Amino acid sequence: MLEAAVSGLITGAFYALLASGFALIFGVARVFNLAHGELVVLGGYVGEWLFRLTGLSPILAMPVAALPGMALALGARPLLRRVGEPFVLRALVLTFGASLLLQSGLQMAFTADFRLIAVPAWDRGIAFAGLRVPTGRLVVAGAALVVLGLLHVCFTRTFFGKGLRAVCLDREAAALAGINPGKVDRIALGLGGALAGAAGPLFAATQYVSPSAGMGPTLTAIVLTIFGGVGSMGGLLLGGLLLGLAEGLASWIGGAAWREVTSLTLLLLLLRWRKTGLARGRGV
Amino acid sequence: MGAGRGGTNQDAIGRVPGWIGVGGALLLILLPILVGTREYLLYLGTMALTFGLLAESWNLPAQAGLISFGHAAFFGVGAYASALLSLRGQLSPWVAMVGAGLFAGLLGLLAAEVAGDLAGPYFSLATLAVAEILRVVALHWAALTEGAWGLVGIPGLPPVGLGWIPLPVGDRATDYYAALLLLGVVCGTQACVRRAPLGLAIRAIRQGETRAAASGVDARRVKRIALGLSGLFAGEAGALHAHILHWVDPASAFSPSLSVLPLIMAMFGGSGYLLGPVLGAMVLYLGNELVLQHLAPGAHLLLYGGAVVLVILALPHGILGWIEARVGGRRAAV
Repeated sequence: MLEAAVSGLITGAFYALLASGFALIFGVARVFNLAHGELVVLGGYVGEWLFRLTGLSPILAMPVAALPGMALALGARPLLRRVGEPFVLRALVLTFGASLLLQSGLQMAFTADFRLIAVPAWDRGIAFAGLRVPTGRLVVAGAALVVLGLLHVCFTRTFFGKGLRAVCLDREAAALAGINPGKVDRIALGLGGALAGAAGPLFAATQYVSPSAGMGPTLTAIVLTIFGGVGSMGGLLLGGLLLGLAEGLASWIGGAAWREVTSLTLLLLLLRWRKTGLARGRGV
Repeated sequence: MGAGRGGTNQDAIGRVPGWIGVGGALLLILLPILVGTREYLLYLGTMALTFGLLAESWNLPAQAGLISFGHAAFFGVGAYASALLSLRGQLSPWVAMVGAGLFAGLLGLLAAEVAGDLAGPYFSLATLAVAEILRVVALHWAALTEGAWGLVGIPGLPPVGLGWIPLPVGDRATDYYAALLLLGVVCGTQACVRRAPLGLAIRAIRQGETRAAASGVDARRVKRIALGLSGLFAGEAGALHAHILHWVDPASAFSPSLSVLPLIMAMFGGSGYLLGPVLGAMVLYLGNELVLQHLAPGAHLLLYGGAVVLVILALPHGILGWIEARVGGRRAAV
């Protein structure tokens, strides 16, 4: 049971990375990006392709895998500007259509086969305090923590990060204070898409990817964003660890089938708990 | 194109010229005679009507701003309830279908309790979660549902004798008229709702729940009615599907695509119009089965995804909205 809990916690750090791009885009641009998981899967395919071709480690593939995600998210901006009211709902439906189109594109580009980045050295286990944990999972968690740490510093210590959080909190007030919300939108979309793509190689290194595998990452990102709120890496990380722990324990008790039900039930409970939305003062 | 002309603004109820509706209904009634012995075409027509029923049921709460991402829940529960009632309960499929509709309607009332008061997108996410949870439950509650194997040997709908009406008989024709009848009932119900005070209340809620409540609309009650009726009709669509195919399993009955298709079809046809969802279902389903399957098999995701993007970006009121704006514009010019 301890092993299930520890493994869940390690997965949880990666969950927080999965959710970071989603939370950023939702917080700034108010878009529930249902195509988020497809961007992750796309990054995963890029990572797998690089690994097969050159043996490049998934960690080093992350910057490359970030590029298509960034390009697609930035390309969606002119489309999002055309979305009418009620914006949040219609944008949700639009990204949903985009996720279908992306799935279809993924199927054409990479076929429907399941792919996995199997780094041989990552399969060996590390023994720690009587527990055995696969090296690869630890590397993935470590990489996720590094990226989250960088984001945290960027959001709290730089002028840009403060402007970004200001737009999250109150768009009009930020604009009055001299922040250009349009520019922040562009940066948030680009960075959010890049984060989704960058999580891809790590995703493909921990589980099989297929064109339809995007639903899982999207749901995880939604759950964590509603739990942790936007603009706070600490909240996402805490949410990720709790979700990972809950899923680890649920699959230890009831089998792997209950993993998904756990996160879905948590989503329902969270929605009931935070009935009116996330940040205070933002009408949806 | 002037948005807002000819009643195409957000809050108007769309209207299509009456003769289109009457002509369409006549064509649908006579279709089994027209296609004659080509059973496959009749089967496609039945499935298109079933999807039309599902899309119309989706559209009822959508009028109140409740955009469901989880109608597969009602469809699947209806399919399983009707299958179990007729297989284990030994009931006639007709009786089983009534029971299945009531059961799915109860689920709709439950959904209204659990998620009805959530704001816009949060309601959508909650319905998505409910449908996925039910799919996993159907997969693992093997004692009731036989798990991933599904239930097989579900009896078909027995033909009903109507001696005085010369209609084609046969299993396929029975399925077809059952679907058409249910579609007629759901459209009739919606037509009544639109004219009744309930219709006004539903539209008032979409325009602003606080304001509606201030004018004396009991939003909880209205949402309960809309979701209950919606669940009932979506459940009937699932039950029809089970009796037509004689088989049901979790992957097909609770398929996420069943949550997605009614949304796409209704918005594509024109969510603000009484017959918009049916039209969207006909165009997209038949377009996929009759045309796209032959040109590029497996491209259905492209079709449905493209339809959604097109509607959100270019046709905010669907095909019917586009037609109405065209006709209205020409009339104004003359």
